[in-house]
Amino acid sequence: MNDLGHDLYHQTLMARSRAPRFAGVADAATGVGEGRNPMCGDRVRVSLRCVEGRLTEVRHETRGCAICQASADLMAEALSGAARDDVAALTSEFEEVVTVEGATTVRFMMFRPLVRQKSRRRCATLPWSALAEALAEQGVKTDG
Amino acid sequence: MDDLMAPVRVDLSARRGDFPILSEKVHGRDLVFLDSAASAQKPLPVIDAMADAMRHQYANIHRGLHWMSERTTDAYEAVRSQVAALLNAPSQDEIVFTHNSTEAINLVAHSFGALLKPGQAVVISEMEHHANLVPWQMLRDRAGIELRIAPITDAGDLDFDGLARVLSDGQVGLVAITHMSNVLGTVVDARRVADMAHAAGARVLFDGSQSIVHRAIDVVALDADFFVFTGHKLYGPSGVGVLWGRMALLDAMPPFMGGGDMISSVSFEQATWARVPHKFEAGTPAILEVIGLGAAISYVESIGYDAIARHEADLVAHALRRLPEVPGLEIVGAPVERGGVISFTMADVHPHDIATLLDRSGVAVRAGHHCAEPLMRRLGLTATARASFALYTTRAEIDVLVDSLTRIRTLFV
Repeated sequence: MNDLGHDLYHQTLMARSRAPRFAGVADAATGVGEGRNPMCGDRVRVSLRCVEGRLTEVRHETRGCAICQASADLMAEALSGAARDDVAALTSEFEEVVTVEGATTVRFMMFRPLVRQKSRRRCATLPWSALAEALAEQGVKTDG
Repeated sequence: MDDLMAPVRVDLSARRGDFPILSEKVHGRDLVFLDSAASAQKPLPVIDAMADAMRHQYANIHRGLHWMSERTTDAYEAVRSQVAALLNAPSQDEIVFTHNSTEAINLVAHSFGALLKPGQAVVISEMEHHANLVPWQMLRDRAGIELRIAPITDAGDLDFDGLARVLSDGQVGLVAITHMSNVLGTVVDARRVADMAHAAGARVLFDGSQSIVHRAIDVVALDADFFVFTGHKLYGPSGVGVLWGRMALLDAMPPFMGGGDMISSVSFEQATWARVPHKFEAGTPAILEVIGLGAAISYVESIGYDAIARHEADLVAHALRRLPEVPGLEIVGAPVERGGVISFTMADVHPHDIATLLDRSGVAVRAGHHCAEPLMRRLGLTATARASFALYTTRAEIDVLVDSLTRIRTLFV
């Protein structure tokens, strides 16, 4: 909680949006995807390198709000080094956090307030849409 | 503190009591509603008029032979003459009820558009709401009409030299332009547009969705051919809008939609049309909403446009003085004449973050592209935050906005 009384904009989220750790373009990317939100003009481009079934690098270029920036960066962090077979489970875990009241997952909990703020949910899911496109480009589905 | 040039201030704060919703709390804070350009709050007379109609006097109109239907028809038609008086329209028969401004513009695009010939052009401006852009794109694609765009200046005013250029070949059949921008607050010199359009042989439509909230409208003085507005921004209900058009034009135009109420006689082979305005009012109209609009117009007239305009000019002057105090804040556009709408951006803070965090302080603003994406591109922006004022807005509320923005800014830098 900050003094503006908004549990969404807490320190971790603000820190990540101000100074993302995974911004940029993946070296020798094997997949690139883009998500756009026509309502606000936000855009996330995700590039990744997948070697022998493992995501060795995930990067994002994000033009968007603090929620979108932080979501892209934390997504890239969670996926870096993950087996590509685990992407579907991670994606569902994220979706559960932002759509299900009282979700019991442990990751991405900072986005929990979005359950009650549907108007901003798309800001957080946009990077995941870009990720799905980046993986689809190289023939890997995220829906399990 | 006040500028010597500032208009005489009119205090309308006593009117806040007429709007029950303004005493609601949001997130435990007083509601500071600065999103009236999207839709205004409703005063008691509007709420009561609609509820009273539902409680005491309601039936379908124009067809019943019974007492309830006749009285409801009278109430509905009385609003038509009220609207005619509001716009200084020569005849109440020139008032067509639609469901909103968007439908009114679509009606003109369809029915006046049917009178245009392939190769003729329609002119709009760079600062149009999608409602005054997309219907013309559809007409262009359907009927081979050219769509031309009159530019704006960097300050956000209509570029009259640019307008002259797009009118110069005499091929323009209609200039359809906003009377007041929902993003920049720009009030367009409508009479000048009308004179230029007419000199070039074109008709002119003004989208008055925003302007009618802030200014008295006189369609004769503006020399308009069409004027549209919507009820819900004028303190009335949603679901009712108005098209005013010159009788000769409305008379020549084919109907928009077919159905009941818009016919004279019908056989299985053919139908003949009712006279204007009923020709354009197919199906059961928004009866309750029209009655609500009538109450809203009475309410606005009881305060008077002069008082409303002066009050809002004071609010705009106050906001333009105070908003620049917020570090990183930039006001979008600097039009010669501005109604009660101010869009702004803040360095390092996305408009959606601004709106979400302001909401937590009880402050409601709009953020996004405001249904004007091409304008956003023209301005080199993807989105802005927008504060808009109404007759119930106070200086103190603008101060809450400024203080909240200043605190939000500290989160991001």
